[in-house]
Amino acid sequence: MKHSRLEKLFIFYLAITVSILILIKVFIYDPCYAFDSNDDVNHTFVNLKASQDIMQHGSIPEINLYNNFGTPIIGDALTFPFSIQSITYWLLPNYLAMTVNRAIIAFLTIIFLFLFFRTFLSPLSAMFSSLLVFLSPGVFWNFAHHHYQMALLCFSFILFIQNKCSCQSRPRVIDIFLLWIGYTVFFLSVSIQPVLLSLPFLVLFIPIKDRLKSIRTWILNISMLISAAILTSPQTYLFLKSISGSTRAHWSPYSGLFTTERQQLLSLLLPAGEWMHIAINGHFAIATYFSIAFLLFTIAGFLSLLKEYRKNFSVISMILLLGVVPLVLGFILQFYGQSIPFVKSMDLTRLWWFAMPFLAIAIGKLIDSDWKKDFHNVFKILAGLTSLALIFVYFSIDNVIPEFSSLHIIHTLAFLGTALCLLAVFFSIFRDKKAIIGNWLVILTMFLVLIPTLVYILGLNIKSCNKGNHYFSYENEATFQPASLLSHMTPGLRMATRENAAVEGHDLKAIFGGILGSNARAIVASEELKDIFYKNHLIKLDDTYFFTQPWQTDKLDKLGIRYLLLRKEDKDLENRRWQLIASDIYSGEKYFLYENPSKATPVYIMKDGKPLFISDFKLVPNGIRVEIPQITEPTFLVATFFPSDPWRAFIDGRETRPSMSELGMMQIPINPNNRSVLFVYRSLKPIHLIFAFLLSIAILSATIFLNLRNKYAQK
Amino acid sequence: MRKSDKINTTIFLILWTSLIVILFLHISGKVDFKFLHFSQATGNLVMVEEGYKGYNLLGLRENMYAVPQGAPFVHPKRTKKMKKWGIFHAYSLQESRRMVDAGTEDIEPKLVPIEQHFLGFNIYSLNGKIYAVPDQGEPAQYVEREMGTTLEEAKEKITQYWKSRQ
Repeated sequence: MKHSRLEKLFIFYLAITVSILILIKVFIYDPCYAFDSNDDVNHTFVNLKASQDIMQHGSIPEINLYNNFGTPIIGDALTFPFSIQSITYWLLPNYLAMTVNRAIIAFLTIIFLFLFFRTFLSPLSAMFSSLLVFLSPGVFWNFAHHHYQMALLCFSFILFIQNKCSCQSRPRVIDIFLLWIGYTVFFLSVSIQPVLLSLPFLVLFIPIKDRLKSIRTWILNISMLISAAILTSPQTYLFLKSISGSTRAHWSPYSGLFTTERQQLLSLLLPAGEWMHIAINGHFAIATYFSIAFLLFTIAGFLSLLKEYRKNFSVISMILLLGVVPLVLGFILQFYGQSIPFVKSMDLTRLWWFAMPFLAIAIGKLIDSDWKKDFHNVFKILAGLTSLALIFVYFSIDNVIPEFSSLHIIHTLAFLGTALCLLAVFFSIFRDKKAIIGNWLVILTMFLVLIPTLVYILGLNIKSCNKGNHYFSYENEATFQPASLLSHMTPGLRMATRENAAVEGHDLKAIFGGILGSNARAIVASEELKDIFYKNHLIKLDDTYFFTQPWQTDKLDKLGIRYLLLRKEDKDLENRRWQLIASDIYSGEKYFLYENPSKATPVYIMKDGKPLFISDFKLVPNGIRVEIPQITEPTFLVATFFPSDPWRAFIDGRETRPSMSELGMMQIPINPNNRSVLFVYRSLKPIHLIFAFLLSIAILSATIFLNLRNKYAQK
Repeated sequence: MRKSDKINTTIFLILWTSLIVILFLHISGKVDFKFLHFSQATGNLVMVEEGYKGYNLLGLRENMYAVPQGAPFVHPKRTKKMKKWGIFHAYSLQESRRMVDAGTEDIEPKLVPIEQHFLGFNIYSLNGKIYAVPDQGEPAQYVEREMGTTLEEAKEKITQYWKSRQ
């Protein structure tokens, strides 16, 4: 499809303004940046730093030694060191890289959504639908995060290319290649859960749109999908392997929020954060919000297509099968799928991210519709009755939906706007005039519906850049604070903090000072290690877990914990000879840093049942090298990392399989004549990488070759 | 592009830009648009006493609810539904017990709110006396304390209480 210069200018303007909007506080507050001080800093930034440090040595980043006794990097659901958006982290400071990424990705997402919609809708509707999809609560909330922000861009890009291919009698080589690139980037850049949820949409789009006529394009699409899946299979395999033994495999923060059907349904109509009787944390304060306007306009748009259903069959099928069915399925699985393995630990509302473009087509069609001609009279009467029902509900809301009894003015206007629109549909029975007023009523009402989403998600009720909203933070939140405490710790040694690691993250951000942390945060954190710590009364469980009292020095020694970072002075620790080596204040909070009297290090040998700590060790890419001190009898050498399958030990070059100590640490037997040990984490075998690469390229080449051969054969 | 498309798209982009300008003005603090203030649900349900004569006594912000064991906790705004399930609304632990003892929410006399959130206490009158109920975890939340016979006297006692804690 050709786009006029003006159309290009319009969409460019819209995309730019969206990019500006999502950085709104960056322009107002100083030094404010667009990053989340929780997920972004405590997970993405620290793991990308660990990855970059390893890659700079020419190795593939496989493990972050600096957190939770070693956490996998490849296969971790939040890091994605080979993602396209991680490139900026090589060039810019973390907080700036995230800010730039958000702006660029938002811009491109709007562009590609528009290009996709433009096939089905007018320029105005395509622009508006792009906005609706990008600013839909689930998508917009999660767009803030590294591992989700590319989801809609990749999805819309692939749909656009698929659509382009299906419109050509023979797809061009460049388009086939772009499709392969699109899938590969998608797999490498986006959390595997949303990728998996998006696949049914990406597989079914072409057959549904073209009524099974473009089989060739469909096969080509499947080939590129398989090729990219094979290329990225090592990462996917490691994710599945890690997650199956993780703390999150049997638990989810996403379930049990709306316990009754009534709450579940009401949360679709108004942001739950406004009317629930208790505080709703995180994205569920708004993630399920569609609004009555969106839902009714989608139905109306769908019905407007039915009068000429033969002509509109493809679009009707798309809306129904790729929009409505996933919408309903997502609802059912999210609230009633708790007994299904893995489904219970997933946020199934993510299905809606990918259903939104197809639902938005229905609204776009409503805006484009000529109401007099497009609606069957039965539907017009139905719209009139629905409108009356809405007005009745509005005037008796205290009795019908008391939860909504004090409706905000925006919701009131949107509610009445919806009723008016439906009334306009009804009155189009009598007026044979283009429904421009009705169309604009739809746009204006939907504009109102967007406002709560923008206010909630961008944190526009917080007139500062303070954390509390995950879109913005001050620059200094991007690293360990108070920073002065890092200088009191020796790089390569380990600390533990008594705090919720998921939120505060000192144990993770300690990597910026070369310090190892202890608390767990990663989704792939080991369940087995957690159980060992819990049985030993070392940790407190939260989203994952953190170390806590009673401080058992003998066990902390065996975990190689040298420092404890606490929020208040601990006389009990001091009585047991732990030394308060530093304290500082940050953001009104006091921090106290204690040092272990036994001067614990992450590596030791056992002597007379007690650890004899080794200082002569070096952290190397994906491992640790230890020089063994003189010993007189065989003993065990313990490296305080969790001995998951990929760990290997080389004693003077001879490979040994590490075993597990009583506290879940990696140990190997050593003899007096042993000199050095190299522990290496090898989760990937080069042969697998080479095989995946060659097979992927073979499928790509074969697809291109067969496509070209058919093309020339046809000539 | 057709002429009508040009006009409509231009109007749309003007509207969109206006919304962004409004948001900019609001967040910068230059203009405070009231319609951009959305209420937010706060507080958590707290189990204050379990199984008091077959009722669970729950706290939610400044309110107490006596919920018969086995009944769901319905939204506090659904007063009819609460009555149907036999859920009582009170302002203190003692008052909720009094309601459970009487088997009805309509006991006489009841705590009457006078002032909320005064130095961490909600203040009520009952039978010519003034009572204070802590609105936070400290001291014991939801437990009513007699604070004299006038509001001023109660406030003075609360102030003294905090001074004595320092």
